[in-house]
Amino acid sequence: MARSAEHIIQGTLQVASLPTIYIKIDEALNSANCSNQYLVDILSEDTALSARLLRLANSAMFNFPSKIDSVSQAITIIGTQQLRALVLASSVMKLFKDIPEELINMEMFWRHSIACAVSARIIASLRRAANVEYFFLAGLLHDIGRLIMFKEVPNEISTAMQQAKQTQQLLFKTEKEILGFDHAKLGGMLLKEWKLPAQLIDSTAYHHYPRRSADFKDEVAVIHIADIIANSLQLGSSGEHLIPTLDNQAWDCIGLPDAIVTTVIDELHKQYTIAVDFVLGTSEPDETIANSGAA
Amino acid sequence: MAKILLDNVEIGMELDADVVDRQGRVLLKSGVILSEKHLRVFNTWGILEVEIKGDVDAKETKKHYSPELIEEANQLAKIHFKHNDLNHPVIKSLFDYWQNHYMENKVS
Repeated sequence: MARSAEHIIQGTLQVASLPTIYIKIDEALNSANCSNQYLVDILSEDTALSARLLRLANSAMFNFPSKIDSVSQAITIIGTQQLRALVLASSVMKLFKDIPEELINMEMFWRHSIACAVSARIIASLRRAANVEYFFLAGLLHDIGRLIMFKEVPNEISTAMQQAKQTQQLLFKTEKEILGFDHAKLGGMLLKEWKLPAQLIDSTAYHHYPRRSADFKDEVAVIHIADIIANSLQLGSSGEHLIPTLDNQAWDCIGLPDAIVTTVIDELHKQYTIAVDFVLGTSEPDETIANSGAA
Repeated sequence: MAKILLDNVEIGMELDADVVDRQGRVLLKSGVILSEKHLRVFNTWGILEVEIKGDVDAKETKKHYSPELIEEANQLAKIHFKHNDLNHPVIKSLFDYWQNHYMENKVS
């Protein structure tokens, strides 16, 4: 008998609670009077992450003329919104670091998520949306449900991947046939348990069916389209081998001209490598998963 | 007449339709010859595309691929996009991108 989605999420929560470091950083950034020193104190719990921030601030990405030697300065250079994305990404990466290579190449998985995140941020900017970094976060997390599947039901997802390939079906539809639910639903459930903002929950839960979101149709439509662009450009892979179906109404509801897609592609190519460096720290392969003591 | 993205608009082009903002307010009338200042204003107001008088040549220079490679790329692209409406302009752009990317990788 296959496990229910609720049962899987309960299993995941036992080993993968949202790291306190992210919760603390998020609370601090949401409060009106958050000082840099307070952020530094929180980050000191995770020395690997602090060291990474310093390296990032000193990297060519920010091209700062003098050496940055304190975490406090590094936060100023990197920016608080980007700090939130980095802490969340590195926290989630740690939680799902031990997924076997035979199932999915984790670097490829995160590259797909980053391509979706960057596309979403570009589309949101073109729409002049407020809080564009939220779209970046939503893109990073949109396929987290698949990581839960790789961890909790590896045999079923492996069968689903083979079957989807043989039948040329979309993987999320085959997941539903085999398990009774897809990765999007699982991801949404986990983010809800983690008490992340509703926009992030809906963006994950409904990224294949954006009109099912009650309160964030436009925002979810952005992730839906960003995911299709990331798949089409084959930047990384989260296991899907075909291009998910574009919901025409979702495209209409974001209100951008059809031809804008070429601008998004050009801009994605410009920002992608930098974003990969930012999130994955490619020059430091084990850094993101080195310190697992923060959970 | 051609609808083109702001990135491809050049100074000296003539507007073929009024440019309006999201609220429908007219920012610039049809017939205006565009100057650098106009392009700056478009950027400020978030205008993404405008209609320009006359034919605007497509800038892309198509590489020459063998008919066999084009056919192979086309067939594979059709499989990858089989769950999408190939007549949708956005999907068409992504389909073309996928196909070109495949052919570029094959010959390089």
